[in-house]
Amino acid sequence: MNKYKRITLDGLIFQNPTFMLVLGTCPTLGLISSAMSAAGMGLTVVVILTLSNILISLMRKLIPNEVRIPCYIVIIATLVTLARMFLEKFVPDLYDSLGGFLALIVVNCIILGRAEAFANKHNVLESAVDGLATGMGFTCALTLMGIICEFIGKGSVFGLHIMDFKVGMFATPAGSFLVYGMCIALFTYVINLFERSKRVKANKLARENLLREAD
Amino acid sequence: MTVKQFFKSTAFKCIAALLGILLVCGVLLTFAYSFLEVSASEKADRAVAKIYGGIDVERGAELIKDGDEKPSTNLYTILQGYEVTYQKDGSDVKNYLVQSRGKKGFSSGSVTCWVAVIVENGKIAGIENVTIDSNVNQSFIGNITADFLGSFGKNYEDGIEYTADDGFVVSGTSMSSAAIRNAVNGALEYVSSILGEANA
Repeated sequence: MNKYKRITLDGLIFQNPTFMLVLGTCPTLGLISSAMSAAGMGLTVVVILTLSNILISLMRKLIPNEVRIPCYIVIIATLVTLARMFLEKFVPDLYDSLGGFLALIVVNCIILGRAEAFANKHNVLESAVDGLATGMGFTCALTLMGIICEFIGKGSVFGLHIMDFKVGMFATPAGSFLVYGMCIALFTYVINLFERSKRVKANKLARENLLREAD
Repeated sequence: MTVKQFFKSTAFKCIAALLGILLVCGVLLTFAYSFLEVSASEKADRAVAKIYGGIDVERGAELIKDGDEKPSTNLYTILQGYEVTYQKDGSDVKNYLVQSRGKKGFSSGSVTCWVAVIVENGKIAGIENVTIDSNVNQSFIGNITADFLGSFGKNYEDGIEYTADDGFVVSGTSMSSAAIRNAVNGALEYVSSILGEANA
């Protein structure tokens, strides 16, 4: 399989940070009660993750191993501060709705995790693709859960009123926790089904080859 | 260790790398701040646009000048205020637009609000609207609805002090709503004091 396709599929599906690695749960539980906030948070993380991966990959040979974590944190904190300033200036409504979670991106383990596990071992292009794919995986997961929580909890999707029936609990972090758990279970079940069918196909092919050789 | 050995050591490389990154990031943020800073006047204009929509509003001078002491209690601090006037049905309507920081929010944080107080015949006649300007540590501020912010104006009575017992609270973000209540009560108190001084 093409290297970039594998990195993309890993970030989006097989190593999805939210559903498979269960990383970044703090903003996930805090923000998925609204689809718009969830999507906004996700897109902010995409930009910061991609840029931090690119910068860390560029500087990986200049940063001594002993101080790599403080250096990564300084780079990530600078990017987050820039993102905060940009949102406050140009998208104030989103800036207000993200609240304290925007500043908390600095310590988001997805960003530091990808810097440590991927960007400091790969070239710039691969790191950029990984940042983009992992960020998009996070964004898709958050937006999907945001839509579910907002629909059940507020009877609306992206602020558009759809129905009068609503279960208020789903608009709170407790409801988000329930939806998050169910989504993880469903996602893992689908991935397991897919991998099992792939294994069955591979076994069948191997058996047919063996029989052909025996004949 | 000789000076030459120090400059070749890992310790020096670590210090140089960290200081280099800090310097570059610091310079970048300084430049970015000068381009992306949101000034107090810009914030006031945003509040005016949010509260008054398309109406042509004239914003007067700042009520609290630089160096003036800001009115403050343990529940609120008044940061700024403007006298705003606009035309309605052919006559001038005068409001006080007050930037008030409500304290005792979630995680000991605060919520800063703009409160547009309607003044008629030298007395407070109502609240035009309330908008949120910024917050500190309010993780669930996204749960505050426009209905809640509009409820202050709808339920205004002479001498009112908004409390949670009277329903001025949002479930799931009660601490942030308390900070907003404090900001609104503070703004009303501040405008009353200005009007009291003017009438005296």
